[in-house]
Amino acid sequence: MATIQFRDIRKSFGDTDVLKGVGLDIADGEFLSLVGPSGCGKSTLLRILAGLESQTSGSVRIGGTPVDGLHAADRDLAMVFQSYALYPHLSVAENIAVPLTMRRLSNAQRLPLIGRALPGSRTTRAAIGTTVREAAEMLDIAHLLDRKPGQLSGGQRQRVALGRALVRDPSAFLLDEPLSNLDAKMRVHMRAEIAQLNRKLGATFVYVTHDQAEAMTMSDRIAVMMEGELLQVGTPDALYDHPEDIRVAQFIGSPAINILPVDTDASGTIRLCDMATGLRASGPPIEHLGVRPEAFVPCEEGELVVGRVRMIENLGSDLFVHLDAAGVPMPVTVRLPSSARGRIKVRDVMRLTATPARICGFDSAGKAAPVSAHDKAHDKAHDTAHDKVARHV
Amino acid sequence: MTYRFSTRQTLAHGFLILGAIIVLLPFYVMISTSFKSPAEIATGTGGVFGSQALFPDPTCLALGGNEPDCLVRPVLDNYSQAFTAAPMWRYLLNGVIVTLSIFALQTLVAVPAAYALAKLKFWGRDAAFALVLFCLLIPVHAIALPLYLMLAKLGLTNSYAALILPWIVSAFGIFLMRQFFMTVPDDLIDAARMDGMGEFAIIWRVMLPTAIPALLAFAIFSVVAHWNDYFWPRIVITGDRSLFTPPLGLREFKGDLGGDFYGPMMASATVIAVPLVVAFLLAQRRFIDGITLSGMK
Amino acid sequence: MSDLASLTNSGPKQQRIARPERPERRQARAGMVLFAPALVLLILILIVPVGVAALLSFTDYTLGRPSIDWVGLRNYIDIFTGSSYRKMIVATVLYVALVVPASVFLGLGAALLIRSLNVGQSFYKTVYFLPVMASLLAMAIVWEFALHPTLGIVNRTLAMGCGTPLELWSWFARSCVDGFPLWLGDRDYALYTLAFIGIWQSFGFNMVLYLAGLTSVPTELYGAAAMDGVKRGWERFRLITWPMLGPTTVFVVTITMIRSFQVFDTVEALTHGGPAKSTYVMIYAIYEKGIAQNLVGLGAAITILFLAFVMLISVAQRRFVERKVHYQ
Repeated sequence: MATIQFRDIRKSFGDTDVLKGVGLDIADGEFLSLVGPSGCGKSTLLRILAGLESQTSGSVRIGGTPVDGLHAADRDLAMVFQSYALYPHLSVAENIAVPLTMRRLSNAQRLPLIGRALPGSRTTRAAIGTTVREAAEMLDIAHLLDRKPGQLSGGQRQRVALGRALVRDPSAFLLDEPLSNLDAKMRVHMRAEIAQLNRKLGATFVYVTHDQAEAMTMSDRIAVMMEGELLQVGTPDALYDHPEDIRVAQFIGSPAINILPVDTDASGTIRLCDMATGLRASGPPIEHLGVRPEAFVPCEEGELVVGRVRMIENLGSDLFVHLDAAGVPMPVTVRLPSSARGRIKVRDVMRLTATPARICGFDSAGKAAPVSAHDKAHDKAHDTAHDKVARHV
Repeated sequence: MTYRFSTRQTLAHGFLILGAIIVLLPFYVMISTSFKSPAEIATGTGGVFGSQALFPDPTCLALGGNEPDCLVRPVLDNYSQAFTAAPMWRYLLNGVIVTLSIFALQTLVAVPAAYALAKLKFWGRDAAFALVLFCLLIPVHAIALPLYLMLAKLGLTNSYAALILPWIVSAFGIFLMRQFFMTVPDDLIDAARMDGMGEFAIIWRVMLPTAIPALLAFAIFSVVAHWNDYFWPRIVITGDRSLFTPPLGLREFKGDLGGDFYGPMMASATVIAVPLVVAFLLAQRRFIDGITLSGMK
Repeated sequence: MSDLASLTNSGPKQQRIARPERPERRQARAGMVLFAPALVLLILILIVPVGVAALLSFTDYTLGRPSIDWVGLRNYIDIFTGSSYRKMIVATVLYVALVVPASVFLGLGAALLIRSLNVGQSFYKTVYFLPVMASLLAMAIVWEFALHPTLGIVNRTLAMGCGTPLELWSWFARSCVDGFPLWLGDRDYALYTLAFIGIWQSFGFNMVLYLAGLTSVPTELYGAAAMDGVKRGWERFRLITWPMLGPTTVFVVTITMIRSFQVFDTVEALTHGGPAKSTYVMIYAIYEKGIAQNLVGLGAAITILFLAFVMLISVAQRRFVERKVHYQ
């Protein structure tokens, strides 16, 4: 078990900076997800931690000890790869045993045939066999031990890959997009299993994924990376409710957050499409408002957004309504309870509002900025102006 | 399954059978002649396998033997002469030694090089690969003369080394294995590194076992080429019969026996051609794939 | 015992810690070390001899003589002016010009016919591939016997045709009176006979390459062509099969050329370049001049000429592949 610390990790290939100074502390036993779009540097960071690549500058500590320059095999880490990386010519049992045979047996003892006759080889091999069986039973693959990877389904291969990591009893597990080759149903299932495994083993898990849903459901904390930078590290709740960067807001959550382009005048009043929104910037000027689809509430007056229904998606449990709203380039998505079914039709005009606490404001740099309710009550002019807009769209 | 009569199909079979007769003609001549007595060969009689009537062996008679003691069966006489008139076993053994050594050394050189070219980033890798591609254009037979001179200067002609050395690096083998290794996922190699393997262990424990199909194809390609090769042994082996490869032995046999001993000569030819032909018939798929692999570039 | 085991286990680990190194460096070093043997051997066995041949082609070097003199371009001049060398070029080019089209065409034809069959595909494939596997030298000797003017099965079979309507063919009628050709012993027939053996030996290889090429033609294309109203087999071949086989054809032509340029076994065993130098091909000339007669300078010059031919073909192929074959 170990803590992991990244200190100002930079990595560049020629002129391209892949990592631009990443600092991150991971606690012992924590499940931390590195999430971000492809090419954001998350895999590179994981590979640097694993010792498969080296950083241009900065340092990595595992359990407090610097490991820079230490061979991947000597870092006491186990890794699960996206393609599972099982040795196709070895059986499941042999695959799981490889990290142990490479460590516990000497070169001579590993030789085919002769190696088995050498002193100590027998007992060590027997011990390895027991460990492998225990791991296989834990993952429910004991009945597959004699098969070759080619004969297994995707989910079974995934378990073998986990088993190979498990037997080493490493101080931390590194998982690089381990679920992305599975079908949707299997992915949801394995999600739960991996999270459980983390709790059962109490070991540190570093999990790389591009799928925010995976990160949200499994992690203790999430680190969102983009363009080689760490944008925000926090619990899933914190990231969802209080994104510190507009890119984080957009990346986390499905369907995506609604981004409304707004202006802030000198008095701090926030206007959408020249209409007052009833909100004001209590800090720096706001350029964008972010509202989660479920934060919107239909209303009769005093709305934030008004628009015409373009499309309705019925998911059974929920209803996603997409609106064309004035002043908003992308359709606005609203999540309504299933009780709203049948009450809304395409081309209806909808008025939506949201409590200021659930509205995120972002300044010109895209950083979070505080938003509060306007102290004045809405005047009549505001309403009629909105009516005009509604007729327009 | 039943097939209806079709003019098209019949016509196609007609052409192909005609072709097959021409293709098989020398094989038929070879085997048939190896069964016949000199008289049958001279007169063109005896059908496919000869009448197998006993005939007096001329060498036996010349040594003063009685005619009844010297009677032999043509087929037995032809094949026993193939093995007694020349050290045929020795030739075959040499063929095996040379082809297997060449393949083993080619593998030993090509597999690590191919792994480096496919999976390791090192300074000059692109230039190294360009060199391999360039060497692919140089047929070893074409540079036989300078190679022969170099070996002669080293005093290596008339040795196994002369037969084997020029072939131990195969640009084609490196290229083929490199292309195959490119398809092995990088993750597998990283996993092996995490599992504690060094680069050498990765080659022999991970890359090679996954590359068995490609290696087998290359083995067939290499063994067929070198078992049948006549040009190079002809150049570097002069006189020393104990180093003859099968084709050299057969050529010597032809030279020694003049024109009249067709029976034993055809028996020798059969003995030399049979190992590969039988292996081919047993594992046709692999052979055809192996030979076709050279068409992958 | 367990002490010993723990010692051997911890040994390498501690060594690694003692010498920390970036993984990229480690890989780069491993890459160079692993490629080094191949590099040295490629240079020694393939590159250096080309240079040696190039140098020697300007000398009168012979093996065993200590002195060596520069003769400039004399060896090359000899090649381009001497009549026997002109015959060498003629024989080589003619041989290649005979073998390549015939062996490519027959390979393609056989592949197409075999693909169209309902039964017996693998039988024909096996039969036609046999000559590729069999030792060419052995089979050359067999062909020599089959083509023997008096004992050979070929002339015996042809003689059976005398007195039949085949005599309407004037060549056949003449042969029935004057005797059938000596084949390998006749300067008018020898090269053609060797070319025939060359075709016999190589077309099965081309067939297999074409069969592999045919399997990669997507069948939807034929469906699409049928929908577009392409009915006749020939049109289908011209519209789809032949263009789709483009890359295969380029490769088949190149490899057949390079291989037929290297013809040696049949020449050495059956004709020794004769009669009257009619089968005096380049590789045989290199062997005869450079090695048998120890005229190393001349042999080296022919070697360089030969390499130039082969490189030209390969470069032409690459150009062709880049320009013409662009479907994928």
